[in-house]
Amino acid sequence: MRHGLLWFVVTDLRRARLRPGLSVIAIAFGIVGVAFFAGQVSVRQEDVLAGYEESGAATFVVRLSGVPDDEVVALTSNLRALKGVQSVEAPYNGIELGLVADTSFLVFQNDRQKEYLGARLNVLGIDSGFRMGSSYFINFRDLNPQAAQSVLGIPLLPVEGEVRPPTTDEVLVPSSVASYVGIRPGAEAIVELTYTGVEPPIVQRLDRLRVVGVFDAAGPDKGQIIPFWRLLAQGQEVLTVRPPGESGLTTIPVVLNAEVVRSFLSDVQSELRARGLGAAPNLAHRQIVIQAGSIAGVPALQGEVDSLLRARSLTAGCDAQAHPSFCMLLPERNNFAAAIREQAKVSQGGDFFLALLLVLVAVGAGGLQVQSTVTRWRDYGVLQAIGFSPVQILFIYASQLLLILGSAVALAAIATLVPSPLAGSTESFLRATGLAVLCAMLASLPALLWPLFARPVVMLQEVR
Amino acid sequence: MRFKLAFAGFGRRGIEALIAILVLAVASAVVAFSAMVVEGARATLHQVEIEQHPDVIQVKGPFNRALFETPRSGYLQPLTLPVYEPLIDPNELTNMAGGATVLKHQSLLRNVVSGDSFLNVYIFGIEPDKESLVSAFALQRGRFLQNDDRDAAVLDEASARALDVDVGGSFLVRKADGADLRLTVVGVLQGIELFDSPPTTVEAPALKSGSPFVSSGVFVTLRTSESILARQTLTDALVIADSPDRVPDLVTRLKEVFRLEPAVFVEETYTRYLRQVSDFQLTLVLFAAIGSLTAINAGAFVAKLMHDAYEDRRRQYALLLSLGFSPVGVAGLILGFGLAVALVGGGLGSIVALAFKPPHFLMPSLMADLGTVVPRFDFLVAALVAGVAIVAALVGMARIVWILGRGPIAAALMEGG
Repeated sequence: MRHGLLWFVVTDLRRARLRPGLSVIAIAFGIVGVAFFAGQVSVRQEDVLAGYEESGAATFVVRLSGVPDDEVVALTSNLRALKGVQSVEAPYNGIELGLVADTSFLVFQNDRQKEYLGARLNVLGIDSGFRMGSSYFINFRDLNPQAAQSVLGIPLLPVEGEVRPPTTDEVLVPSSVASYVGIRPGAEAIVELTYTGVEPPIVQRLDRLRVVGVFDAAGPDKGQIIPFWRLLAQGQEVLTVRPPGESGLTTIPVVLNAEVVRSFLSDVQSELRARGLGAAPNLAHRQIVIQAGSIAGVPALQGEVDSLLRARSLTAGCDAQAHPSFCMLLPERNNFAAAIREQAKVSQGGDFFLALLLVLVAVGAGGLQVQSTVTRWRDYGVLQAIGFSPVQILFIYASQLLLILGSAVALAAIATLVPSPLAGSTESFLRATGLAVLCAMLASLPALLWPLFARPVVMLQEVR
Repeated sequence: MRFKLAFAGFGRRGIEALIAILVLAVASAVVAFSAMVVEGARATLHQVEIEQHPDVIQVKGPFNRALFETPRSGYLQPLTLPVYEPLIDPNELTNMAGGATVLKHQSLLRNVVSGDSFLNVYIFGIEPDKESLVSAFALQRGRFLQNDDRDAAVLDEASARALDVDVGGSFLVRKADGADLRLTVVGVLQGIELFDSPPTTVEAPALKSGSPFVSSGVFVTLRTSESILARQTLTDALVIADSPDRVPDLVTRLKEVFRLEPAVFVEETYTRYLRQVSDFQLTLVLFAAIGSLTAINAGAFVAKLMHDAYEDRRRQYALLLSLGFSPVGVAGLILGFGLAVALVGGGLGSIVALAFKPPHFLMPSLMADLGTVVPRFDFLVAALVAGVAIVAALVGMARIVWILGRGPIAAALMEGG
């Protein structure tokens, strides 16, 4: 009897081959779509995370207070030895140290006078391992003492020349200065390092620094510089004209070799002692930038760094009055939490669209089953009239549905698993198939059961 | 009668029509949901484009250091200086730009000294009809410049106060040849948002005090500024590409044109913009692709459903033809049924989508807060929903039209045939 039913199922399907054929194609199309795009959503999520990692989201900043320079060097060595550390850098940041750099270029000279155009910039002293795109951070507290301790990463993006850590006789300048003055890589710059913490300020002039690269600082100042014009007559500075009402503070840096800044800070300490002001304890590295091996590894690494710093008798706390102390800060906007949040947005968005696709598969399959039931309404009556039980009728049409779904899955498998532009992983195919088949079956079930509740005589009265 | 024949037909055909409408409504709602999100995201991206102008390339000469030397006291002749060195040949720039829009500028500074006081005012020679593409001018009184204006000026409130002029008044500007040009004020502005204005380097009236960029000035036509500067070469210019993705190519060509003039700087913001929105764009492409597939799949399901509905009506249409109904009349019934199902189903789906649309949608954007995406139902979404529904109906009716139009009616009347 069962063989007979199966023969009936196949024969009935063959008789109306176009209708089930089209259903198979439409459902297979839906399964392929869900499988392919679920895979693409995963790829996109990984891309987002990789993009964030590349731009420094696995990075956090440790702000130091009252830690001498030589101890910071030893500390960075210890930090590099920690498991899960990708890199540790300790740049000199002028905003933290009270340093500014008047960076100027000779634009006119004759035998009597020389004229320079330049701009007042922040100072960034870096070593060879510094990552230009992701390791420059400013602390809002340094710009505004009322602000909370919070650091913002400013990527230094290459525009022209070689944007890499400079040697002691090289310098990198921002594009806003380069276009304002009219210079390109190869030009010679004069940098006047100024310590503004005392009156009169302590100044050191660095001549003939070669510009090796021009960068764009993608930060809050949006290219804003504080320009000036300087006139020298007979070798003596006669005049420096600056714009009216400027505060003299910008986050846009001129990038120097760390050794140059270290040497200047040492001179400043000597000068302060010579003036009888004593040493300034904070004229040292104030910032350590630590990059974890992965975004997921940031929280664990933060814990390890915290333990290590405490073990070296540093007090934890961003507003700690005691010295030496440290404050661990996650960058604003671009940090591991933001990276995970942005990654989740892709997942949420993908889920929304894939849910729509599954709803479509369900409604489409359900609609087709209802249509099929209505079309065969009289057939149900005939089958019951000649002695088929409701269970056997259900078996026939449920088998037909399963055959259609099975064929759709097979077609989708060919499209998804055979090497092609649509090819994806077996896992995503199986997940998509499971979901699509479940949706289609659940949506079709009411239409399958519907004829079982009607009397055969009513069905047979139907006019074709 | 015709209505009953078209929609209810014989027996359970009315139920089939209802099912087709309901399935089409849900499919249309699904298509509308995905299209609304994609449209909302596109609108967000467009808004960012408007704000950041990644399609604009700045071309300018080096800053003129003579501006720093402007006199501040004494009894000296007035003078007018270019803000940037005028090195840009306008014809060369226009020829190179091809289809791109070129906004030519002559940016000048007028310096007048009288005893212990001085007055600096920025003068910008612009093309009035094009400048509003990137800059905003809020007129307070009078009118804005017109292309054919000569010796007319529009200036901001701060500059007007400093010069002690108003609409209808005039003031003198020293030209390069030493003569004075009288400019008549035709309008006063209460606000200016200049794109890429020069850095503030000298004291001058300002609408935004403390701004690092010039926020005020006198605006004249390029023809007027050419007569002041006594030359046509530009101090700076903006090139607006047809679309942001054409910027890199244009920049390369501009740098090639000015390779012999190394002091001319070509700058763009497209690279930074791309860095900010690339994640958003890539995700949008992915979601748009899923949305497209959704639309195609919805169309396929509906077309199949309509095909089945028409198949079940094939005998009915053949019967009507054999009873003497005109072929045009039957074609009208077929088309009427399909279009009615498409429009009613599409309309219902659109209403459902509008009623239950998500209030916001989140998209990733690396290193930039582009805000939340607000799904929007606009003309494109409506057109897509209607298009999917109508195309599905037409595809669904294609076979029945072919059979009834080409084959013998007897074959169409046969059971199962």
